[in-house]
Amino acid sequence: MPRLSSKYNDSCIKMFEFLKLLTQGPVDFKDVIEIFSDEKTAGKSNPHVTLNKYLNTLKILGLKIKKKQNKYYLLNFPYKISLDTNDIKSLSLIKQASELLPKGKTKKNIDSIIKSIEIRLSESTQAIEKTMSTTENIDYSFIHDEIKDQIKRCEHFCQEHQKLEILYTTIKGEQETIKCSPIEIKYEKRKVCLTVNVQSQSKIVDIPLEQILKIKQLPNATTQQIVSTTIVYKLKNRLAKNYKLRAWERSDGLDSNGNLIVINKNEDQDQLLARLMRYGEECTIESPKFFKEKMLELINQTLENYKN
Amino acid sequence: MKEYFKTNTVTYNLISFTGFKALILFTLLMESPKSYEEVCDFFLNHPHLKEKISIDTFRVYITSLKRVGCEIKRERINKVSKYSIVSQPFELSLSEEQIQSLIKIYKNITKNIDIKDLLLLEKFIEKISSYLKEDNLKKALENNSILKGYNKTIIEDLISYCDNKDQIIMRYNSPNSGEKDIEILTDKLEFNNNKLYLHGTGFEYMEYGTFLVSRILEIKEVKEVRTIPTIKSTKIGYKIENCNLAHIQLDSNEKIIQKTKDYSIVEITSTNDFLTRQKLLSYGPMCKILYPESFQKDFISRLEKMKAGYFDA
Repeated sequence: MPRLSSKYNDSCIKMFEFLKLLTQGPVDFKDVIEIFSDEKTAGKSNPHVTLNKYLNTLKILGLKIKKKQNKYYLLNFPYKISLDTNDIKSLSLIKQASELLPKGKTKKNIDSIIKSIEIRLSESTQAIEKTMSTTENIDYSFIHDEIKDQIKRCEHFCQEHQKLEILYTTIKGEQETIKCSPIEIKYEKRKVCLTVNVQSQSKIVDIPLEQILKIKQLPNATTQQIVSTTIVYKLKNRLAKNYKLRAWERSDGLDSNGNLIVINKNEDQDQLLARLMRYGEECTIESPKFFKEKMLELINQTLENYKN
Repeated sequence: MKEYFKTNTVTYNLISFTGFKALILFTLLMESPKSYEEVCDFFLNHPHLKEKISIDTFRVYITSLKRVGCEIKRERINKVSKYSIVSQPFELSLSEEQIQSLIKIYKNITKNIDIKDLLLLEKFIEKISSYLKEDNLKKALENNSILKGYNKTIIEDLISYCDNKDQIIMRYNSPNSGEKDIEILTDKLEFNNNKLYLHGTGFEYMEYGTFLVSRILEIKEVKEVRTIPTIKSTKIGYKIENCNLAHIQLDSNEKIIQKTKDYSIVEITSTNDFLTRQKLLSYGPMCKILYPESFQKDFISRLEKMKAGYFDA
């Protein structure tokens, strides 16, 4: 680091030290006054008077500082961020999504990001923020107001790393109880699911929150390792060429016959079956045997609808 | 102070005059590179300052700003030394953990907003990352973006065409027939299985279809006059148990035409039988196709071929 000249301006240093302190959050009066209690001028100048001079200076320059219950708060920044109407809408979207998060690291981080952006907004941006109705032209449907509390509760379970016993309604309309490890909340199109790992059956299950009837937290801690069966399937013809692998899938590319062998792990098995059914005759399951049989059973049951 | 706000006149013993000048200099050097002469001119014309500063005082201010954490760049522009602040202690900065939290929220949101709002959200995050010294946020967004690999200009154009329901000719890289021009009456852009599709009526087969946006190479022409094609639609009826109906989302081209205590009959107005068949296949035994007979026969034949696929080997 280059050596700095020994000549500097004390008032300038004090002004910026004061501002730096304020930008870190609410500051106690005693910490503020300490900056202005100069040993060299002790007895000659009153630190309270000096502080008032600096506060006046900042006010003239447009910086707003509020004192409440012996603490100083900086209400705007000397360094501005300018955003337009669309940016404000996006910021608002993030705020709304953050409301769904339970108390914890992620929520704390997002709230602090929002705060540090908002405090830096330029006057013109603040004016936009005030005048615009933040909900106009934006689709907040993902907020899922009706299951907001349930989302928070499940996010909390995911953070706690304790096993769960869940009673839920399956797609067949039957009630099922599973013992599982919660993994994450998954936001799908128009649906929110709790993704869990059922270790005893080596599978991942995505349970729509609306289908959960009861959750009981068990005293056992979850294991970090996800235990789930690997499914291998083959895609043929046009689909083999066009298929885009999911994040949880891998493949070595097309084989000599132009088929694509896909190795799938960690996908809800019922959802995978429905997805592979969609691909029709251009898809066959290679392994494991039980999953191949499940697919055949599904095809047979569907064909059964058309007998007689 | 009250007097200042009334008269706009500074009472100098009530403010820190030096601190005032330091903050003004900070603001000036943040805006753009300034020479000593330019700073002097500004101070001279400032309503409260009305005086120059010496070059030595100027240097002392520069040193002081450096001491409080400002990084100041000095460069020769048109043979004049100019100073600017390249970084300062009030900059927005995000920790790696905060960036990961922001990406988590981004992922939560993206599944449920339309493509227009998604583009705006990405632009917003890009703008915020432009205020950061490091490019961690930019990189994190690039790696996690649902639009990774897409040409955003093409997407923006397509959004506008879909809004106007424009008829366009696009260059498309078809996996089967290679590059070709396709004329389409645009309808909407939608994500399906993390892939962005353009929906619309293709003129080649006069059928409503979907096209992968990642395969659109360019938009060659926007037709001034739309020629609305007559698309053949098929009414497809299927029966579904009510307990299963609760688990599926009916599309805009579907309606329940009959409901009993146990089951419902849903009718689809289909303009693309391939897409309708895919959808009904995914329902498996939950649904039974009732009509038309040709569609039902084709559906059964597909199921038999699927079954045969497991015995061929």
